Amino acid sequence: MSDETTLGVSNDKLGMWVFLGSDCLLFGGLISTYMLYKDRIGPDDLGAEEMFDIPFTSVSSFVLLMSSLTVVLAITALRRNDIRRSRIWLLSTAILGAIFVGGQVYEFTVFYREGLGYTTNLFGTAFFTLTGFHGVHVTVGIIFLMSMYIQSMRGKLTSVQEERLEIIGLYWHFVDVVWIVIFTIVYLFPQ
Amino acid sequence: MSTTEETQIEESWVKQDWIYIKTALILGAFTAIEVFTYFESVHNAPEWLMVVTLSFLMVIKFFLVAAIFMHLRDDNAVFTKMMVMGMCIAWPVYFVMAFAMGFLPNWNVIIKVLFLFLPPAIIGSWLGFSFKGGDGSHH
Repeated sequence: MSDETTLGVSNDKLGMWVFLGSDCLLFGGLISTYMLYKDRIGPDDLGAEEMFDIPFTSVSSFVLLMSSLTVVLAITALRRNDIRRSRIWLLSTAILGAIFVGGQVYEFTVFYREGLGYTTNLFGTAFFTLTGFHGVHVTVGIIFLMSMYIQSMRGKLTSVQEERLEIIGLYWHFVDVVWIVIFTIVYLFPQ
Repeated sequence: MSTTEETQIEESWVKQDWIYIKTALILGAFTAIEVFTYFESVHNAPEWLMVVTLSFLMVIKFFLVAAIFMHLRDDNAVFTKMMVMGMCIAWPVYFVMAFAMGFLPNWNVIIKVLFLFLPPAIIGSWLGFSFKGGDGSHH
């Protein structure tokens, strides 16, 4: 541990948990807004039931879920000083994250072509804001992971700096946890 | 370090990785069950049953990731308490909002009030009793 701490826990890790707590409130607000506005569509507009492609989103959800496994394997590999394996898992996580974001971009494009834009109706605004914010979080996570990967390639990430990767792992798992909630409430709950 | 110690450490790493892999498999299986509810044959089930089943699976998945992947199970209890405290605050905030906007089903008022106060009260009590406090001295 690099800094003095009176709680007996790492300040950096505590900082990440505080950030995740505040992010919980942000996503809670966005999910609540979606729930309130999901039925506010015009008489000729397409609703959630007609728009969503559940099998496609299920595959993306599974991909993101598995990325949580790869990041935790990267952390344990680094902890045991197995740098090579840690790098492989790190890169796998970033690739799985990129596949998820790519899927989201594809989904947004299809919705737009079918007539659902950001300002088409309140359902569209709430849906794109919620899932878009989540997509941005995943993208930021990929940037974090890639920076760790580059540091590892330059020999600057060893078992001594394992906590840095653990903190990024916490962020990544949080993004996964938020998607677990979004996937169930937005996509799977009866419309 | 002796060879026996090295072997023991290696075994503990393998065991740890297996816990993560098994957790991921369980999460994958739960997701498959969730997706299964999308199909037409299951969709004819009552709406309340679908919502309860999906919510139950969602909560289990949420806590599995938090406890095992985010290490809350083994890490310092301060992190768990912070997370639980946030949820205690968020619950009434979002519940009141949903209540005010007419989102909640037409339940009896007593059930609504219980739904609002009981979870934070139970968890808050657990938090209150679990804080041990210090002796006031700083080292």
